[in-house]
Amino acid sequence: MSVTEVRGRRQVRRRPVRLRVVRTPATGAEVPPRIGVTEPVRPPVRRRSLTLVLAVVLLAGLVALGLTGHRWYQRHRLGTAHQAAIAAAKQATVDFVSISAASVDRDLQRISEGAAGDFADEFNRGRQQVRAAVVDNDVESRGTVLRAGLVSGDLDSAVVLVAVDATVKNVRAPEGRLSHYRIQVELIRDDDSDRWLVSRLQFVG
Amino acid sequence: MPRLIPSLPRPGRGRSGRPGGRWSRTDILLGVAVLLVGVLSGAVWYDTDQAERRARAGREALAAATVAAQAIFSYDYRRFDANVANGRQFVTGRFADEYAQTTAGLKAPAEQEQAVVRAEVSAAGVVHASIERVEILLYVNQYRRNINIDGEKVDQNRVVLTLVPVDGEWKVIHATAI
Repeated sequence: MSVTEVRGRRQVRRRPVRLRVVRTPATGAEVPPRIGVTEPVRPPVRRRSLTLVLAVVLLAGLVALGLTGHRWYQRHRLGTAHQAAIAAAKQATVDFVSISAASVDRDLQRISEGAAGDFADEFNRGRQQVRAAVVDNDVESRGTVLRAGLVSGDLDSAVVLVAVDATVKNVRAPEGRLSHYRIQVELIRDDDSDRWLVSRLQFVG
Repeated sequence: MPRLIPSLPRPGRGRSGRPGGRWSRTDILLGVAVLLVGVLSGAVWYDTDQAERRARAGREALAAATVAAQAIFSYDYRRFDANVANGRQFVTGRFADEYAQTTAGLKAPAEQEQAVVRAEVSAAGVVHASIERVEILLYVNQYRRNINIDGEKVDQNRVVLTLVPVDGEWKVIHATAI
């Protein structure tokens, strides 16, 4: 009979007692605990090896998480870059075919702001001529994107196709005429502003 | 009787003398951390794998769409049946039936007019890609010759092809001109 049991069978389970009852090997009789016969306080070898195994597994898991996380981040960045490039290409092409005499300066400024490199130079060179043509012919053009598709792209550049329809009204067609465009846009990402800018815009033949 | 004596060592319960058995508090924390890191690694790996498979699907379908468009939008009245048989390799599902019907109705007029249509893809891009379905935008030029035309005429089309994987190959299940 143990020390704790003496206090009554219905006793609620208590915190573990650190000192142990020791039985004599021969009779099995119980003797009171003495200093020096308690279990060692240090964790046994089996426990320490379990802790070590868990620590090693955790370390391996963290390394694996780091590697997969890096791969995920690269893939995520690429996906975000593609989406941003496609969105910029759609906006740029709509801007490019949506010009009206009433808002010509604002319309041309918007195109210029989204342009870079050769396209910006080319566009700005012909800007006054375009402005004059739009005003003289009382042009009102409004474009909509039907589909856009990514040809290729990385973190800093992309090529995007944009199928655009535009209704163009002018002095010769006051009722408006529907035009179908096949546009290919090359874009580059501007590091400073993190914006995607058009470096080339062409109507595909 | 030993049931009431938690401090008594029992076989298989460890020898710590604590109620947690062989798991110490450190072990439990480590175990939970291992589990969390494992689940998180698995989720991140799965998500990346799906994204890479989508990207691969897009690339493969893009290449397949270009070849398919040239095959299914071209024909020569002198080799009409062979052209159709070739085109049939690139189509599937309801579009395969549609393609069969259209080409069956086209054979007689094509021979009558000595029609030759050559399709060329000027550019193609991925509109949307999932593992099971990819939509491709193509700019397709059709160069047409027949007895009613002097020389050659060109139709500049915008075509959207939807492709699905069939036995490891991407095939056209839907085509529409926009």
